[in-house]
Amino acid sequence: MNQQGEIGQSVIRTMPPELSNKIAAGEVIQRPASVAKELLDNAIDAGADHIKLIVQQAGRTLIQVVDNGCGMSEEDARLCFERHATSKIESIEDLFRVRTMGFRGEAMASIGSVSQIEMKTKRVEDDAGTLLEIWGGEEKRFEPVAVDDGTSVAVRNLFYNVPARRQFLKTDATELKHIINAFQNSALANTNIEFELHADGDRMYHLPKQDLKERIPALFGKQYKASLIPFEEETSYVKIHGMLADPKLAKKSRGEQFLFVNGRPFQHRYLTYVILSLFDTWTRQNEYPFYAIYFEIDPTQVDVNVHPAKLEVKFDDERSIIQLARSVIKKAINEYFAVPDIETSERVENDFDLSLDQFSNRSDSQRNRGGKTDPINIPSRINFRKSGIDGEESAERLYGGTDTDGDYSEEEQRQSSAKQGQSRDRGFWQLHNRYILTQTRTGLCVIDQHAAHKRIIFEKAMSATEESLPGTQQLLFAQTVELNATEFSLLKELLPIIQRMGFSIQLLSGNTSIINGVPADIEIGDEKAVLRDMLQQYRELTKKPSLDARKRVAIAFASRTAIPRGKKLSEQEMEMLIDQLFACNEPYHDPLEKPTLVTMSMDEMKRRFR
Amino acid sequence: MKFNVSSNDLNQGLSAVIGAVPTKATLPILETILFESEDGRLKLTATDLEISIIEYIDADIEEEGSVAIPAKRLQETLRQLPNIPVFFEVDEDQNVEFKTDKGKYKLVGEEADEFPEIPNMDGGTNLSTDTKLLQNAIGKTMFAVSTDDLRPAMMGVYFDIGENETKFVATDGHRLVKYVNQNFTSETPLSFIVPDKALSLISKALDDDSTDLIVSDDHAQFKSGSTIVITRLINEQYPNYESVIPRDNDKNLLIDKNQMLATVRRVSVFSSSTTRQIRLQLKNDKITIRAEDLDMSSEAKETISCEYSFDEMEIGFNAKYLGDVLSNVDGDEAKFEFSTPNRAGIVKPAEEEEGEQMLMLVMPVMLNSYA
Repeated sequence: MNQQGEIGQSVIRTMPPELSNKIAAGEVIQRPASVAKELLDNAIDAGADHIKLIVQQAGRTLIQVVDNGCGMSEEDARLCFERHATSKIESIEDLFRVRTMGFRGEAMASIGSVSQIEMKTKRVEDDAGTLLEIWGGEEKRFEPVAVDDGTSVAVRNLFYNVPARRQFLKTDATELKHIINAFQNSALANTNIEFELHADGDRMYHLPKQDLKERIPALFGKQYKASLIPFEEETSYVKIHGMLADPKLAKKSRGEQFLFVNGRPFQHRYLTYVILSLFDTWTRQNEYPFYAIYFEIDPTQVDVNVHPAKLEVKFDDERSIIQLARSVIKKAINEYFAVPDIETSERVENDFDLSLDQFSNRSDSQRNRGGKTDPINIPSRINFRKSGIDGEESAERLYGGTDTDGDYSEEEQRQSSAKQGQSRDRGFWQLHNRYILTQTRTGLCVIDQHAAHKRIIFEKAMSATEESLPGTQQLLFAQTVELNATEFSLLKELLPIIQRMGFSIQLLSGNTSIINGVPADIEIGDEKAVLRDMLQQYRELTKKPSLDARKRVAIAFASRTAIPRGKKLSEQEMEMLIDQLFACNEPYHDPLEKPTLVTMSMDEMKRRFR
Repeated sequence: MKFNVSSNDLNQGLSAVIGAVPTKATLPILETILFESEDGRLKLTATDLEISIIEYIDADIEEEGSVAIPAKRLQETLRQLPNIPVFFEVDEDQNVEFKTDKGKYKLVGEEADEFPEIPNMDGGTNLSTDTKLLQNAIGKTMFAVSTDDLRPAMMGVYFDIGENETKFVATDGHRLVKYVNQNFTSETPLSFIVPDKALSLISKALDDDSTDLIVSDDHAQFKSGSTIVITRLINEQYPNYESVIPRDNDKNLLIDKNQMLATVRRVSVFSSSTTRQIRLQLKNDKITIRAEDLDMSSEAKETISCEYSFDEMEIGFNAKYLGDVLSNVDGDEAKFEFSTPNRAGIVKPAEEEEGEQMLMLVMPVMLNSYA
């Protein structure tokens, strides 16, 4: 304001290149790890298959990357320190389909302006290499040198000319951690490249070319070896694959969560949140399990140029990417924790075993269909006797007692005794009338009977509202329900949904309704109370905005009608419940995402007895 | 207490009462059977506090007394014995020793005073009836009893004993059975609900041609020969069942019951395991029964002939309910009475004994069309 007198003179000037490079460096090069990342990216783009990262004092004094890539000519060596000099793209079209790590041509210029760089490079076809030294953006040396094929870039005394920056560096341990993280990202993204990391003279990592499932334990510890959960899914739009580690190995801090798109590491808050929330039930609070997730997508569908350090990317169709990732990972976790292989001693011709087989093969068949379960293959029981949760006894009384159809009932009895023998083999046991314990091939599975039944009813109710399939069992004694005004208006609003689920309800004047019929596929008990409680539950669920009205009704219905905790179940009931549970699309969670079952492996059991 | 008894007699006595011994007792004393000497006979009593069974057996009582003996252990030992005399001796500390010519067995009993008191039936209404009639009535109605704790009134068979006839009614809200017999009457009409567990025990335990009933406010006693069963009654208002029995079902259908039952059972194998839903299509002396299970991609269809000359109609049922009802029809022919697909269907035997009427009612399932 006090320079008004200078009006008329040009105050806006083009910055000298040194300055603009320094400013750019401020964005791109934030800490030694950024340098490491840029150099590693360049080495990868140079097509190297052996890359060595050497740091000293957490990169304060030295960050060096030695690769055996294509190298540069004398001319290029010089040019690469010019701002916007890049070998990677030529035209604007290229920008939208970049597959290389770098492309903006900023990195080397930026690094060069804030450090002392010594670069040696040689192409295979050249006899001699080139040595170039740049200090704070100024060329100090430029001469031929005898050197191996490839490029070696040594960045010394980073921020030597930007004391403010240097001051802001964190402790060596922290900075090293960031460097290691950058190294891990590159190493995970490029399993076909041999990597080495040397810090202050010690070799921290040496990773030969290896599979992801070997590289992960090599990078993060042997304990991951046996507990990796691979997954893969391909659609026409995107291909997702990767590895999760058993959430039991989750760490108390972040840092082992990796996302890659087309080989480029990226960060994505929402996606990370979604993925971590899938682990919720298996981890404690503030535990972060390892994962490495790779997206392969048409480069035109993703913008990698939205963040100065290219840490973030933007997908054109973010919703479907996240949806897909979510379902793929959820499936992988579910399969891992599932008990698809409940043990049977005899695998023979009867339907019991068949249904078991189906359910152990289920994951395979599901994979083939890309996660969607074909209703036709849902195992469910065909057995006349299994007519309902507590029809069992009366059926026995009746069919056991009549002789009208002798052959049939004999057959029935034979089957039933065979079945009883078998359930004993398979082993169901009820703990405090709440949990069903059963043996799996690898250990113990504990099923929450209430949550499990909720899931079963919920899915049935949901499909009922779509297809309106179950019939309505008419009631002999129609039930008159007096509601209050709010309940009544809510019922009025929800009536179409409730009716599709199989209820037959008539609204009268004066807040009264009459229940004439109930869904035919479930024993409902006290219809009046069920209706009232459903309305009540529905109101409570309106606090969860993620649920639509249909889901809320189905959840309310399921919560109210599911087998309560504390109800004694017969072996047949337990067996049927488990069969039905595994016929569900998402057997491992109840509709409100609480787990329906937990497992304990024999290994874990053994450990506990140690 | 000392007595001699034949192992066969004792075995029979034990199996008569053991039905009342709860499998998982809340009180340990309930796992015992009370032995008492009474008028030169041995009186065995078991109870689960709801139902008590008393059985008298012949024994040679050497010394009067009483003791409660663990039921399971005693029964298992005795069951393995041939028919030989067994000598029991109980000392003051309730140590029970019994001897046969095979050897001797010792166990510890409980004091008879600890055993729960059996309800006193003095002052109740006395009635008498034919045991067969009672067993028949129980057999015909019990299948429809509700197992739903939330409807306690329906968890038993309703006995409505009048001056001209007795109605036995059971319902679970989806089906109803009413069996009327004119050979059982009472000058003072009375009605009560007997829980279904008691009914099956009564049906099994009564062993003489006639049965004497004593009914008080809370209990009913059934006495036949040497056996007495006393049960607590369900103290609830029985639903007004008469009002739900339709009077204007005019579409009658006559059918071979065994054929239809077999068809229903076969076809229902292909119905959804949860809904058990089957559909009946009635048309010109033909009935087509169909089921399908979308989950399993299975379906079945059978057509059988019948007598039906009314408008074509389609009605759905839960196969289990329909099967239960059909198998309970006496004789070879069943008579259905329908009105509309959403109203109760009535099933009766085509022919009935003099003085008996059987009526069963099944609520239909409202059908949704096949996809």
